[in-house]
Amino acid sequence: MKKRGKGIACVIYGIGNTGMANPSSAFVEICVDGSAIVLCGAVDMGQGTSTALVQIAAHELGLDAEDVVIRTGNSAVTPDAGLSTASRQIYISGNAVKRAAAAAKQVIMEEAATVLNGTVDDLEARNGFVTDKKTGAQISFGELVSKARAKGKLAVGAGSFNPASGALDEDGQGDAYATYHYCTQIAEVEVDTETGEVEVISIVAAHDAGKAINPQAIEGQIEGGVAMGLGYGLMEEVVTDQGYLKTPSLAEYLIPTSLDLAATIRPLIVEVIEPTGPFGAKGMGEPPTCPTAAAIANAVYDAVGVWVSELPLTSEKVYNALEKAGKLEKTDPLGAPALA
Amino acid sequence: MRLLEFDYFEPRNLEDAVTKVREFDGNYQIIAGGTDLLTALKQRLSAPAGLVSLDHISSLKDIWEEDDVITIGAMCTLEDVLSSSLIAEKLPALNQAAWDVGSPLLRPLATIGGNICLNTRCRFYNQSSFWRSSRDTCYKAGGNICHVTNKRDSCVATFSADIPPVLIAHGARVRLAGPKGVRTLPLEQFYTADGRFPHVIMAGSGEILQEIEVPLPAPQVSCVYHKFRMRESIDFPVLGVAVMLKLGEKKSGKYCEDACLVITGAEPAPVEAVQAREELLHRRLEPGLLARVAEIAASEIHPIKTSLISPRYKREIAKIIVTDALKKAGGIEE
Amino acid sequence: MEKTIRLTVNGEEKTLKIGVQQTLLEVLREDLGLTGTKKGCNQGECGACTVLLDGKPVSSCLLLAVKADGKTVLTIEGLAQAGELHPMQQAFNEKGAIQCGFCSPGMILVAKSLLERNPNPSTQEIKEAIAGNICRCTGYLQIIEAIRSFVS
Repeated sequence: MKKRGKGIACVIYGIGNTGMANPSSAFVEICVDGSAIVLCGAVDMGQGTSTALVQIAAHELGLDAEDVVIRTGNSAVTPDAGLSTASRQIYISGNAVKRAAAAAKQVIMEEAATVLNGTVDDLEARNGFVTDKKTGAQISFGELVSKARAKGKLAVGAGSFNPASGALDEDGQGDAYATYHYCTQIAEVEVDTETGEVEVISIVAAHDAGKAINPQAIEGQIEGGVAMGLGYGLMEEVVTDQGYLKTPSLAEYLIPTSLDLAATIRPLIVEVIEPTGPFGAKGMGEPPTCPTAAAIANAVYDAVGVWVSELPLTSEKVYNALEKAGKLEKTDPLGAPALA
Repeated sequence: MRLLEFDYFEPRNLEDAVTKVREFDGNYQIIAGGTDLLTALKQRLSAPAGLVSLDHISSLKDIWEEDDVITIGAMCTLEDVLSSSLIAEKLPALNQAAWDVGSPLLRPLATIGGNICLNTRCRFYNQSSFWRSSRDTCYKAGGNICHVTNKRDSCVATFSADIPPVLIAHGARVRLAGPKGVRTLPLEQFYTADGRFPHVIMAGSGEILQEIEVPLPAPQVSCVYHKFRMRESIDFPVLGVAVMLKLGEKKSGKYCEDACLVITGAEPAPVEAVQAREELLHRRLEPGLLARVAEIAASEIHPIKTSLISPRYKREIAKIIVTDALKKAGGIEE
Repeated sequence: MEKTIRLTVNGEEKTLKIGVQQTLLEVLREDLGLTGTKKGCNQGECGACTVLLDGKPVSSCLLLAVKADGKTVLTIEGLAQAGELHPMQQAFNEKGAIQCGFCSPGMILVAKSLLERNPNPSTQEIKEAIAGNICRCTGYLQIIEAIRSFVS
């Protein structure tokens, strides 16, 4: 027999390193062809930070994202951005990039004010042009960089940012993070009361990412995080026995295949603007993995009324828990044999 | 991990292959698809001086029907089996079992012969040489201790192939070519029940699996294969069962004229549940009977902890999948 | 022991002297420099080393190169033509079906081969086709979405 249940789990997740300084820095240069280069040590291993940092720089500068290139993760070229951990790069490096871009932009804005006989306050930079909002006169980034350069000024900027995380006291207490990611996931599962197998039917995952710099990438992070969380909840386990690793390869440490993710994953992006974030953004790389297993375990309880207090919820563990609680249900009763 | 060097031979006919095997005097391995063998060689589970490839023996790649027998060449890939309309129509359980093997990336390479000759598996054996080096070499790998049973001279590695149960349930025979000529034997007799050398070829007969002969099933025969595994793809079975039922019809309803139940994933060889069969014979197919038969079948296997799954759970799973397979084969609705 | 084999790799005929113990994966990456084919688990569990052999997706880590003699191999490098990405590569880009990218060459080749055999696969058929390719980043959804964008 199969029984369905729903479970919910919530996470509050501190962005950045815990109770310590963890600054990042970036350089931005606007070039004579009107494009811009961002240098930042933030390493992108697939989560999409390079794209989002380009978007942040482009938006701050008033350029199209296509006209901004980024160089990352090379300490011979790029300034220190700290680690790509703790879901910190968009919040922290994003701010550093934004500040560096603002500094570089200041050079061409001042040049534009001179050239257009206006004031910086009346100027607006968009799509690679600076426009005087009063007169409508405009000039391209490239021309401005050339003119400034002729006067011995380069459109370069450096920026850094350190989150306002408080120190921890001797008990390890304190305001450890400058900002937090909040998320809630709801899982619906179907439990086979004969075998103990758990199938996840659907997961709705709502994540407060602050301003969503790149919604498609954020959805990818949520879906991927949920998939990892599902693996963590149902099958992935490092098993040791007296120091011997029993799951040393992908033949034993099982990662979900496409057929094990029957679930519909519905990512919901909740944009609560973070005042200290770049354009209101926060971090969100790791949080999607965190609540999934708990939501599944709660859904299993809702479905069959047993708690399995150890992950992963393999069919054998659920079977044992059902048996202990007297809740195994055989579909087929034993019967007396009948001759035909 | 790279492969160690070896000599490689591609005989053009079976006779040459048999001769080559004899020349190597035991220090060889036959390679069909190679999907299981290469993993084992990378893990240094064996280091043969030579591989004898069957790739260029074209006679081993056909599937045909003649005189009420379907013959399948040992070198037919699982993809060949899946794309054969003859098999899809006449032996649907074989089609199902082939589909259940490995992943879509392995089935175009892996062969039906390779699946029949699959080595047994154990969590202490199928590991890298580095991992294994932290313990004494196990009996199956050439040492003198079994880490599962702590006995010195036996091996309980588990037979984990998906296809043989279906073939045994259909009464298939295998044709073997060897130094003393060609012989056929019922597939169940091909297996030794010795975890270390699970079939006659590994036990050193010097033979080569040539083809499989499956008697054309009677119209009243229905066969199904059910596989239970941790993931829906890639994994070997935790347990698999093939159930063949030959159904008769009487006024009182469907009854069992003949049956065969074969379980994989439990012991060093596929297990025929003979008592379960006895219980079924001449009886009317009813849910109560099926559950009872499944209980008996589960009591006929003796799983041992060669994987991360406990033997007790395997027995419980046996009851469930045997019941399900019986229902499906018997055409009994849920 | 060495052997000379003939392979058609990405449309180009190659005659290669190889060691018989070399896998196709090793020949592609090391002898031909085609590192787009990834070495993941090297034991047939992950699918990162997928190439198309005579049009069918296979794990190249479990295939001796000598067994590919006379056959046609397509790797991810063979998809883009004259600097233009293959439509499947473009679709993966557009749908966000790439994150770290390690599974992408295999996924894209499997997807291409699926659509050649079955131009209108159902979602289930897509999932079955990619069931040998492990993806750790995406949860497969954007990958399935990218492949579905070719289905009418």
